[in-house]
Amino acid sequence: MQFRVRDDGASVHVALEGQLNFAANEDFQVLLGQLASHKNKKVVFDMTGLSHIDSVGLGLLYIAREDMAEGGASIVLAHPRDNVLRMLQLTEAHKTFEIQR
Amino acid sequence: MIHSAPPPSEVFSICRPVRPLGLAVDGPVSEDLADQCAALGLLIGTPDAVHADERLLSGIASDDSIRRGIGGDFSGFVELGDEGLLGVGLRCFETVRSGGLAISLKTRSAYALPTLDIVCDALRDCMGLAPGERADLIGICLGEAISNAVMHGNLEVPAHLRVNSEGFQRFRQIMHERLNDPVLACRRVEINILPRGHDFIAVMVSDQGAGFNFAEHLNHTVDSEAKSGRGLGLISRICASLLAEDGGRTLTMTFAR
Repeated sequence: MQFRVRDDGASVHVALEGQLNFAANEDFQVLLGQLASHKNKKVVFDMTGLSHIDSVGLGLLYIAREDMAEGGASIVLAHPRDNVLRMLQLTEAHKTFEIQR
Repeated sequence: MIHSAPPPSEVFSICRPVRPLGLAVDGPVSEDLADQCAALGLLIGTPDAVHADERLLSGIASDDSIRRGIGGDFSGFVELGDEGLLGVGLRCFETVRSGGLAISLKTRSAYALPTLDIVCDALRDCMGLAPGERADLIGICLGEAISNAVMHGNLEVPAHLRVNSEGFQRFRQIMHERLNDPVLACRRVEINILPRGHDFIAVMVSDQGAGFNFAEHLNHTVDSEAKSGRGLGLISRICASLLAEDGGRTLTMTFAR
């Protein structure tokens, strides 16, 4: 997985690319470190470039959400591809995350 | 009274004749590897020289080599280890003899390479699975099965660690350690794909870990915010049929096309 972080002041945009899966641990840890300084902001994970997410990757998003909620930040999952959206729907992720099509 | 022996009669086999299977080796062929192939009934040679009904490509695993193995000229890819084919599941050879596709990788390779993308592309290009909802759902199951085989099967990393940030750190550390363990990292993840008539396709994902109690895990329920433990439940909801074999080391998922 690769990512790019852009802070536009009001919100933080995180563009994800590749696979958010069991092999993304190290990259995701780096991402969490970068996001730790963005408190009280909306963090938009742009999933346009994400080709696959598995249940491990989904678990990482839940962990990120909990960590960032402590700093007053909230997460939005934006523009998932069809297969990624299917995974989010199957796991009822919409009950926890705001999902923007 | 002495009975005479019955006249010899023609012997009929109920088994199908074994189709010649060749191992195309992309690299030098050691004497040990040649002996292993002989014992397994495999023809062996370089990719240009081995002629058989079905052929498996073998060599060093890379994105290119695996894709070449499951593309046009071959019916699968087997990553060669220091000890040749030692540890490769016989299921791979049987799958290819039956007209399917087989991939055998070391755990380290299955982790580092885009294994799921490669297999999904093969389902589309070699098995005629049209892009769309079915293909997406099969990809989700395959991703979960490969993830389970690598993490919980071969690397024996417990799932319950990933409950929070601290657990995630521990999980990362254990994954890192075990991917550098020469024994665990060389255990194999094998993916076998077989068409079942026109309407179904069977995908088997095997590992070489300790196995698990399939029935117990299948009955395990998770809430919507769970950080782990979803994989098998997802798979069972999507598959037309789901079987565990080899003490939980092989998951056979059958999907409607």
